[in-house]
Amino acid sequence: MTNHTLLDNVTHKDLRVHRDFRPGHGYDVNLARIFPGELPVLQNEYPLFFIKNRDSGNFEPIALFGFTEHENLYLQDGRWDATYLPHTVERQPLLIGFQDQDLDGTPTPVPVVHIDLDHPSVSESEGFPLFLPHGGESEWLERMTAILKTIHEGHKEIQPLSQTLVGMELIESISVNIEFKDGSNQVLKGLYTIDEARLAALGEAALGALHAKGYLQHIYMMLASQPNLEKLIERKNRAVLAEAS
Amino acid sequence: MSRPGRNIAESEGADPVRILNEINGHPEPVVFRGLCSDWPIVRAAAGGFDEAEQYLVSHYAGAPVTAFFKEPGPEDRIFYNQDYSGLNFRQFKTRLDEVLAQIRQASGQSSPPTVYMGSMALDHCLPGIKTDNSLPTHDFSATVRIWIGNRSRVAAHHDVMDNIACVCAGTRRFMLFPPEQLANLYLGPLDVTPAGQQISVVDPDDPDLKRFPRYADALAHSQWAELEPGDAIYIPSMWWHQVNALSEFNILINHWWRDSPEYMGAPGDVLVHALLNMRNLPQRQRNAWRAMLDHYVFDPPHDALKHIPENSRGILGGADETSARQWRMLLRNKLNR
Repeated sequence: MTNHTLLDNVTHKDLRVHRDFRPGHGYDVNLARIFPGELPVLQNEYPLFFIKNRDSGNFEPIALFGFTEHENLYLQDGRWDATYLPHTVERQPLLIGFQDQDLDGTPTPVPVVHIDLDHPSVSESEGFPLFLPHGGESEWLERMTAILKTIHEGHKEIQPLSQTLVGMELIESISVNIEFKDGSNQVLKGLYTIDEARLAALGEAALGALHAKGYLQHIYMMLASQPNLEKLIERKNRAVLAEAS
Repeated sequence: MSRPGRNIAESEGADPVRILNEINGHPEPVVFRGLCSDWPIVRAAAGGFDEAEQYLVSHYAGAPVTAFFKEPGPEDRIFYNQDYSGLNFRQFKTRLDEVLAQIRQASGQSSPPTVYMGSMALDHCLPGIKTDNSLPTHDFSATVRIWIGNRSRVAAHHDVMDNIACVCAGTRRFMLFPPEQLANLYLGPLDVTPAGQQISVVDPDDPDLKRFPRYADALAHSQWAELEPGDAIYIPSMWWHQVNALSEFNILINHWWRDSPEYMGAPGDVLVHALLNMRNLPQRQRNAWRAMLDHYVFDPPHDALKHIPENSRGILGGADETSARQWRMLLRNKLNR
């Protein structure tokens, strides 16, 4: 359940947000949307893929955390076992909303901070305060606001990136059949990655065009993340063996 | 109807090209008859609603606009609700052609709603008509706005910027009060306002002088004028103005400008800051601050800073581009607590 509302420093003056990375605290997801600007720090932590957005048709980059819908193998003993969190995880329980305001005689959708009041990390007792004693923004909220702005900007990069990669036929669907040590297996579906053969066949002009847009780096970051899939399988194997013993 | 106060001074033969420069800094309101009577929008509107609508719609590219809609009721002003906790109209995002269609629809009704698209930037709403339907604003920091609606009454309020408003369609009545009349205008709350400034709660067309006795003084100092299409009015910064659009269809285009550097912020922010940080101090502390503000801000003696070497007077001598940057950041950080 979600209960999104405009964050304000009167109604929500006593709210705090805790970072308890345990199952049932709002982080039980097996993937998160990520943005091109994050790829350099995320490529060393998570296997990165694309998924297809059915509404927009865009291929959107994601970080994979697990193999079934609510499986997050990075949650360990109340910690998130990685150095960097994707912005869309870190922003929780906050999100961007839009408010129509007239700015200089022009109706303008202005991004404003919303909060999911039903998110398990929200309480009046635990964690970082959202507001200072007299209503100012806490350091934590300032940092989150900056992250929300980065996400807002990041959204605008997805479509051009997707269209370019699709236009150059650089995206391929992958199907991975994974066998775990307890004998169970799982077929990963709906994931897409960079078509390495097509990439290798690109001529100088095409590579130059990708480089000029900064996309060549994105492409190699996505590819460089692939060994993390093995590590994620290892996490799962440790979990299933621990459960079996 | 007989009115206290006097007619606003009128000026003949003003040059529309130079008028902003010439009137800039003038302390009193002035009416300019026929200043913009050759604008295409004025000519089109002279041909009736259909012609005006066609002119506007043919130049409209679909930019979203904000409009007010007020149900017919005993209070016909754009105003607060019963207990002043909110407003008596709703505001929504729509299209210009929709607004015009609603005005057309309302025109046939015996007690029509108020439909009002106010203060939309011409650059945003109808950029193509600006050159032919506005006054040159030269090097001033300026904004040109368009107002379209049926009959309406907007309670007295002030604007921070100087203003020349040109009536393009319909008859408009302006009733102006000098800035220092504020105590006699019985101004409403600042927390909820129709457009950002407090409004007078007295109905100038039917003032209840038993409830609002000081309003008689305001009326004695009032100046008013009725403008026809093509006429323009200069409303100096901070003058309170009640504006009644009297016809079934009204268009106004106004020019707001200020003759102050870009780095200066909104003076109204200072009022809020003072209410926040000074209003509830003990009287003797308020007196001390009054003396301080008079001395440095409102009425500085010519030699107030003479004893400080000129290069070291800093913000006390008034902000400049650089000190505004420094003090803005400092203030911003201090506010966040």
